[in-house]
Amino acid sequence: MSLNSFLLIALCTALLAVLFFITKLRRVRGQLSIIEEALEDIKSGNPNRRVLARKSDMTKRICYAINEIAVKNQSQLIQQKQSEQAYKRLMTSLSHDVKTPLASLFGYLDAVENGLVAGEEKEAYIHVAVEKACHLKHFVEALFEWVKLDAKEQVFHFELCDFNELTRNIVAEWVPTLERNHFEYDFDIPEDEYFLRIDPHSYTRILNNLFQNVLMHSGGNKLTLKLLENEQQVEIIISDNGKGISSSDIPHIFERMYQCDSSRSARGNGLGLSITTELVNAHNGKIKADSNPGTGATFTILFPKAL
Amino acid sequence: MTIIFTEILKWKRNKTVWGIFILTAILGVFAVERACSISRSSPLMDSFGDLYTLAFKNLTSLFLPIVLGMFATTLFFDEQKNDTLKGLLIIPISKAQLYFSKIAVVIFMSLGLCLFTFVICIVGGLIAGGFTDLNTETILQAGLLFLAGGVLIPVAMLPIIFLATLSKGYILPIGAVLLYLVPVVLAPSELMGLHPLASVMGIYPHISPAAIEMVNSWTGNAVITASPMTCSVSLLAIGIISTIVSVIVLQKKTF
Amino acid sequence: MCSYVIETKRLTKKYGEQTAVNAVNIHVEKGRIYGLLGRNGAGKTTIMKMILGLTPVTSGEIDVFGQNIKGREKRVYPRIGAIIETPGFYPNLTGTENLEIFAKLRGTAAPNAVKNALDIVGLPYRDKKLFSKYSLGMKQRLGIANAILHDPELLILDEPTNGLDPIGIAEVRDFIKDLSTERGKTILISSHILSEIALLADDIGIIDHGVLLEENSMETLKRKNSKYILLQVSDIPKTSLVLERRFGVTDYSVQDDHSLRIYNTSLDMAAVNKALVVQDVAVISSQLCNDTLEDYFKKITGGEGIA
Repeated sequence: MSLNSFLLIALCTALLAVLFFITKLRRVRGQLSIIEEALEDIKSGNPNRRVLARKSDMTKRICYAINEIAVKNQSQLIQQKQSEQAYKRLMTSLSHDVKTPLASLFGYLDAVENGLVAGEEKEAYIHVAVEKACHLKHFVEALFEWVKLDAKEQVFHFELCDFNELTRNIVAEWVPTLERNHFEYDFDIPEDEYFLRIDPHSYTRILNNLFQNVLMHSGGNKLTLKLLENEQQVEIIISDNGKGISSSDIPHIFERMYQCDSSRSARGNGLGLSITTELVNAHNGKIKADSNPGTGATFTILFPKAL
Repeated sequence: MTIIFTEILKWKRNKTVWGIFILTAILGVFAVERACSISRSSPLMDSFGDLYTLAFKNLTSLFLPIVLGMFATTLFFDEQKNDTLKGLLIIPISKAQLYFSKIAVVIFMSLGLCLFTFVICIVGGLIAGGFTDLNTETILQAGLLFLAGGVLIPVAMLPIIFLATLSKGYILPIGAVLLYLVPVVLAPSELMGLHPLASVMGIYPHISPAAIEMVNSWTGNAVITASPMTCSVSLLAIGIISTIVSVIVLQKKTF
Repeated sequence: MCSYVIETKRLTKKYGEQTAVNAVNIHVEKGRIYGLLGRNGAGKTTIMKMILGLTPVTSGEIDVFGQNIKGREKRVYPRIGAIIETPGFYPNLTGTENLEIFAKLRGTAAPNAVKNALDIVGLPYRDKKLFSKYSLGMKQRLGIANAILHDPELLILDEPTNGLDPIGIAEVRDFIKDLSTERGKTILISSHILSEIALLADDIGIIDHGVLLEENSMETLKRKNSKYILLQVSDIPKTSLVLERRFGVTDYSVQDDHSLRIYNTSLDMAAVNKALVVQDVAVISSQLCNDTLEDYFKKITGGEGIA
């Protein structure tokens, strides 16, 4: 009994072991052929291809490594494609945005030159033409600034300064404009000193852009600015009581050339918020927007104290 | 392998599985209780063989086929009910793979229950005491018998599993399990070599000497005409046919 | 290189006498979102099921990744992620455990695939909550997590926003869009809601009673169907002057040297034409593009419209 059964058990285990190794081997062979096919595919330009591996697979680490390379490749490719697309979009929008004011500017000037209008009407025509030229100039300037920022060619001059004082100076300049546009305002800036390393020029641009944005697009009549400061960071909260931004627009408003109105009636140039974001990023800061459509929008900027 | 392993993972936190094990424990404890209450001088309980065959009979005669039938049905049907089947098929896992993994789980379940009862028997035998023949050899014999039952009963249940793959609900297969058992209860000896469950019974006596007595008491001492060989062959043949038909039916089914 | 990820050739499905899908040829291009639009029961799900081999094809062919799918299922399906109808999971397990089962069975592309997938859809990793206790929105999310678990090249999503609340719909829409733009996935999506598809898809196939009525890119459809007046004239500057001074129109854009779009469609074009002729501007053509997408779909589906 004992010898026989021992032999039997030994035989069974041996058989099982052989069976186990054969299945394992087959699995590895199958995997290798899959890897080969996938590599061929990736080589021919499909960085989306992945090789799947189970936790128990011997080829697991090779598969994961291949995937990692493919993922890296893919993200580079996508980034490249995205910026290409963005530039294409930029170029078409740009040509429209320049062409339209240019065409009408030309129309006005042409009318003046050919003597089609006279007297007061002529004056009015020239005034409109100047306004249009001015708008065009601003647009081209903004565009240049943006391109420079995007290409990381902008040079920043960071210096340690009293952030509260700086903010007070910037908003003070806005008071007349706000009053002229019948805006109520409320600035909550702490009295004490708060030192931060910052590029004052960029910071001024950031606030100017956001204020401009509220003035032109919010449709409200109240603007508030609040600074919340602590040891780690400063939080700048700018809100209005206008029509707000719909939730489907919020993720896109910081993109260049994005304008909430689907038609091109808005006066802005679609670059303001995009420039603002670039500037905030240069300070290692963060910017976000929250809004309840109908009750206004809030823009929040975070600057870390240690730059 | 992985498929079978994940099959087992799927049963985590499942109440049915716990229920089955608790019922099995109760059955085992019941046999042990009998062993405690009946005196060792009675021929009914004068050896360890009596104890383990009693427990084995309790387990395998009715309880195990019913439980396995229901278990297999839920195994096949829940996947459809929870809509996980589609998810599995597009992995892709072939229907044959799916079938065999389920069968493997049924066999594991059956083996688990048998070994569980086996352990209860040994512990019960020690607790009840007074078994002069409780030694390694009888324990080994008992182990073999439980192992045999654990493997053979699921094989005998393959036709029922076929019905489980075919049906769209619980009722048909569970009803079929009961119908399937009726002839075995009525005429076990005559059906050996024909009905899988009866064939299984024809095989037991050749595994453990104590099982002879058990099978005799079951068949009412009728003469067993079918040889163990015929029993095994018929059992296997019916099992294989059921398997093939099941796989074909599953392939045909669309979701 | 053939860029169709899915191509069906006269794909047909019959249930007995009834034809559910009738000789459908769809072409899903690489890296794009293809929206299959049709009413409930139009045959969208059946097409997806046939592609995934869940239901046999009566006649016709399906090519996936440029190769006929027949006999290559084992190689092709690991590259696809899908949700068909409702996502199915084991109710007695948690979300993480469910995904781990699928990850084990299919293999993964990276060691921490389950956590990544849950992160993307915004579900907690190793949460104690059982699937049976999940809300419909969470179930859908888990379904999507399972579909992207192995980082597949192609996603087939059958009504992925079904049963979600508006916020959930917007979220799911956003990350489907992200999967396409940020990760370069090809996506085949079905819906019975036009506005859903219009927001998501790059290409669109309209199916009704098992027949593919139209297959086109969203761009073409939108161009066909936005609201504006296309004016072709000999002199753009003069035209813009007339528009601004005489009709007070500022809502227009110059397309090229001879055409411009006016977004105010209620403009009295007869008067504009007359004024232009007086100014010596030749009007080559003026056409009103005023179809909405809804109108368009009503037209091609034979008046009944789609949701």
